[in-house]
Amino acid sequence: MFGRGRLGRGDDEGDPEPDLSPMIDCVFILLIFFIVTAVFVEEEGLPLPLPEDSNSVSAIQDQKTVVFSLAEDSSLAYQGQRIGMDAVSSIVREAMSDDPETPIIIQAHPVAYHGVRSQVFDAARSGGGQKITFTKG
Amino acid sequence: MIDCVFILLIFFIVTTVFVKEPKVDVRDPLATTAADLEKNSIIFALTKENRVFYDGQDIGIAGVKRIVTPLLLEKSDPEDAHVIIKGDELSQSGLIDEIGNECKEAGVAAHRITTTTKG
Repeated sequence: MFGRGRLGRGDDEGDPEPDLSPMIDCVFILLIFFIVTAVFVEEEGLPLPLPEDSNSVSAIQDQKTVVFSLAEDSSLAYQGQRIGMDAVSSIVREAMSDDPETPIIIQAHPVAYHGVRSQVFDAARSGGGQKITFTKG
Repeated sequence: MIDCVFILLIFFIVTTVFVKEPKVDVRDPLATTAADLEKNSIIFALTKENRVFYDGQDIGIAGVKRIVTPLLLEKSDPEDAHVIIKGDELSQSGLIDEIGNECKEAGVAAHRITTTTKG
């Protein structure tokens, strides 16, 4: 330290700072490494409303419930009648205007498509449904 | 400029989350009510051939619990663990539920299990 100061004065260069370039190189490499490995997982999604257990399902069936069922071929039915996807949100909205706590059950055959069930779930949510559960049909 | 680079470096170090992605192609179902999901999650994928993938490997339904259990032990608070199930549109809904149930049995809180959708 003392020696360097004397050297600086003696050389008359006026540059007492140490050489930073190796450190900058190092920092740049680290920076590039972190930029490359940063994975921005930007996923959007819906919850998976699995039933708690068999008792709670039978308990809520005492109330008035809205049940949509998806058959093996992923066709949608409500009260035994086949309906289109666009009817779901209006059925839910109507039920919600009577009682906003009405439970909604989406009963899907295990082979029914996940994509179709998600659409029904999404439509029920956009219709204002709050207590929505998936069950096996 | 060095200051600037240091700030960038720190930013990237802090934001980097090492998430193991399933590395398979999955077509997410469409949804309008989707919300952003937790970034640091355990991600499973269910392909349209109904095979379960984690970190690029076909693990099968039975493998789900085997993956989740040790990851839960790593967490300081197991209540904090999130699971994302990336299900293909054409996968079977029953299998999605089975993966969800396996995660629940392994100890993941039910409201932290989600499926991906495109908004």
